[in-house]
Amino acid sequence: METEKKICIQNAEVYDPAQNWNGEHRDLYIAEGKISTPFDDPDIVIDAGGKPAMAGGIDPYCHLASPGQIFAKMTTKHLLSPDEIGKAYARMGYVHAHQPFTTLLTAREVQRSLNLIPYIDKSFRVSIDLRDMGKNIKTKKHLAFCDEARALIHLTGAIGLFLTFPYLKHKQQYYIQKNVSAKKAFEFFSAIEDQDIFPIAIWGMPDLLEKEIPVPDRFLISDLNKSLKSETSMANAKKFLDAGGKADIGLNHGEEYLSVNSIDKYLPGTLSIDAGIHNPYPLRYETIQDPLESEESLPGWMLMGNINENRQIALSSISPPSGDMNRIPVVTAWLMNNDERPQSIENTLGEKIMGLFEIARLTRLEPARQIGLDDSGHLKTGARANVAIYDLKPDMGFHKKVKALSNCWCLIKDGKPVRENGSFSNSIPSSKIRYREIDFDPSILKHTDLLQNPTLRLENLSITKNQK
Amino acid sequence: MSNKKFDRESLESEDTAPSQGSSLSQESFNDFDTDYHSRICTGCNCLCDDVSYYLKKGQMVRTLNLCEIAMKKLRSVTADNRLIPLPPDILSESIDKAAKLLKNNGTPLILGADALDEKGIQTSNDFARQLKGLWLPWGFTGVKRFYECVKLYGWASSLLDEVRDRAETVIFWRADPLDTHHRHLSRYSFFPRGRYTELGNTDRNLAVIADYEAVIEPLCQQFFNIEPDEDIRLIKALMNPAMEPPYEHRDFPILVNSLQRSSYIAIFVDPENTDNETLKTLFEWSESINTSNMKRMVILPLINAGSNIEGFTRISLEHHATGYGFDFSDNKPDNKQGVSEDVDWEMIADKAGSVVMFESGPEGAHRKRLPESLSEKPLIIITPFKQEPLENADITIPVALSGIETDGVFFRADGMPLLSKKIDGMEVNEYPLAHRVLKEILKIY
Repeated sequence: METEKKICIQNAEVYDPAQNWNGEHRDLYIAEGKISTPFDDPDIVIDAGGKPAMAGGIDPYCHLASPGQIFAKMTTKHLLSPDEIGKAYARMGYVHAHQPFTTLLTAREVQRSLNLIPYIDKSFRVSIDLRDMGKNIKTKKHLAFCDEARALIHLTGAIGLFLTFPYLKHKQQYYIQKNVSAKKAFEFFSAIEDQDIFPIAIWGMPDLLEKEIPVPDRFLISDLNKSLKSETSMANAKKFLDAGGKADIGLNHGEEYLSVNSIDKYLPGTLSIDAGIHNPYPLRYETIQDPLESEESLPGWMLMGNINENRQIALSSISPPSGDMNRIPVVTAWLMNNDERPQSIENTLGEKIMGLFEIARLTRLEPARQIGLDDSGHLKTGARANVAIYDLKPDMGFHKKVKALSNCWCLIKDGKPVRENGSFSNSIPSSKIRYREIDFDPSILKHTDLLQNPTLRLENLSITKNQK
Repeated sequence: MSNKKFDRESLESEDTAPSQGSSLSQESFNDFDTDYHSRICTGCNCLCDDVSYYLKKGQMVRTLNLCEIAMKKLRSVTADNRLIPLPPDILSESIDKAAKLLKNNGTPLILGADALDEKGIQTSNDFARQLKGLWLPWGFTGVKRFYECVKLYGWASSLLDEVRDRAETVIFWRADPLDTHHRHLSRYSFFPRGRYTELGNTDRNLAVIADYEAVIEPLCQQFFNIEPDEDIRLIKALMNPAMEPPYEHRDFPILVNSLQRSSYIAIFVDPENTDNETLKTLFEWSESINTSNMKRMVILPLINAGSNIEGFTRISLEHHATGYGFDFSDNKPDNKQGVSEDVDWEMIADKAGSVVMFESGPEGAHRKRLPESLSEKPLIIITPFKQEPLENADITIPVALSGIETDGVFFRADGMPLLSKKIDGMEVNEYPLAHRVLKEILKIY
């Protein structure tokens, strides 16, 4: 089996921010599916010829399989099939993609859909339902909340927690006493001592950053771009990141994409699903195209132009995979190359050019850290042997860079060659859903509201895990 | 099967040992040696997951929470007139004959894979692709009609849990759950208590539109016994109650009042029993309500088809971006992909040279709805149920019933995939699996 073959990648220009390798020419050694110390007897030798190599890419936010998303195939053109998604990621040199969230009830649906995607590993977070868990916030029962949070992660096979809205607001007046304000919620989270449940990812909604988020290092803002709606929010975003907060950001590339959000406005012709998230707004799937000069597009680019390089921010693709899935390569090429940037992007980024070291941090190290994949996103000894090599040259123009980033020269996943010389090899690597091992006390389930409301019994709600 | 009921005295007795996994601490019934709980029923796409089975010496002696539809399926497993499994040589011969029949008769119609589990549906899609056939579900016309509307109008939909939690007005439009989905009302749409419908049915208003004396009639608050060609007039009147001339029906003002007071409305429609224009008008109504942003109206199909129709729809979408199957044949009009928009059963019958059919229930109810012309085609029936009336089948291959004799993944009406496990220990014959039969036919073809 090729996983057991020993591989030596020779003469690669290696970028690994975790080890401060900034283009050093090195050989990489792979044995038993992991990055290894050097050995003399490789079974396979890959001569990288000085090409840049980095850890396999990780997309920290992509609507791969959100609840009801499958129906968007009827209303949206060019949505990719599971096979096409997996291949497209592998072609880009990616080895992992993260589905932002599921709910307790839809975890099975999401898990099934994710399992259909080959080539890459997947993960997802589970949404905290404040309709059930909000009671603990109102009564300040931190331990009870953490118990339920752990149970939620364990039962659904999720990798962490997601908060679609940091508040609960009922439309019905007679439930107003059950409302939970964002202020109260954040105060509550700030006081929690159980570090295992952090970071909690919060969905980037337009009003999220109008006020500062307390204890930023406990949170991760998913799809930060959507929260950058004003000068206040931009300033608060920078403060958030400066104070140790994490975020993923999908930069707009001006092409049509399928947007997934949850706002209190119905649009004819869109897909709108009540998927069990705690605010009374359905998930809305809508095809949009934001020009680069628009208010929806520019703020994200502005932020990238102004933040310090060591901030915990990761680059994501955001939308459900469609078309030729070139958002990340295009955005990356613009970040790397100021020759052919559109004027509006150039105006926001200014002279800023990012090298591969920074790109590796944005697309490998930071996403891995945010998702909680300690063994990925870097090339330290013992890490999973996920290596991507690109046929990139410094003097390449924009279009050639996009092509090179869209079609990696070589990809190794878990020590198995997936792409060689710019083409797919015959074998398809194993792919799995990563989950978090978390301790929890099953006896708490008897005393919690968590399982009172679903129409399914616990035995049929909880899902199996197939990691490692 | 035992008809013993729970005895309150016995429940309180200390002598009765609790059975493992039982939701009750004590039971009066203890004449069994194996019991299973929280099992998934695959009688319809309600996929009730609170089913219990009790076996004694390999025989089913009691069940809990099975409706009549599911009970009929379960009984068919051990029915005296169920086809016995074909001996290996006969099975081989039948598979061989099936391959030849399909090869010699033009475009095959692969019909009714919505009766199978997920693996069966996936295999049937590959099967149809390789044979360049038509791959369609039992509820084809209704499913197609519904999802064509989705393409035109978009769609406001919901999980069944959200309907249970929020819907204050529930309307069944030419759908009768007490006919097709017996526990729908008690688990999702009318009786159960939800987060915001804490008084259960008291917090809800139930209205039904049907053209016959529906089984559900005694339960609903408003019943519109009208002909299908009057549907559009009713919908338009509900959209605009003040219109002239006013809509005259004794239940109309109450339904209007209920809709006005409701913040969340759920319509369950059987698209096979409505025409295109009615369904479009329902979608228009939903769109107008939702656009106001004051209320929400969701439209959900309640289709009388195979119990895995939702699984079929999703797998069809995954592969073909349509929810109602695919036409893999070469001779499509205008060289179009998929199934043409205006196709109906008669046109399908014209095109199909042979039929591979997956039986969906013990009484063959869906098959009886097919046009005569289709029934006359060379026919292969793959079925876990009893034989009659299969006299016009050229080849019949008995297979295992998923969810009872074999594990299988089925999809609930709102897309929840659930594993329905085999009932271990039940004394049944060993039947081949449907998806394996298809693979064997393909090998020879």
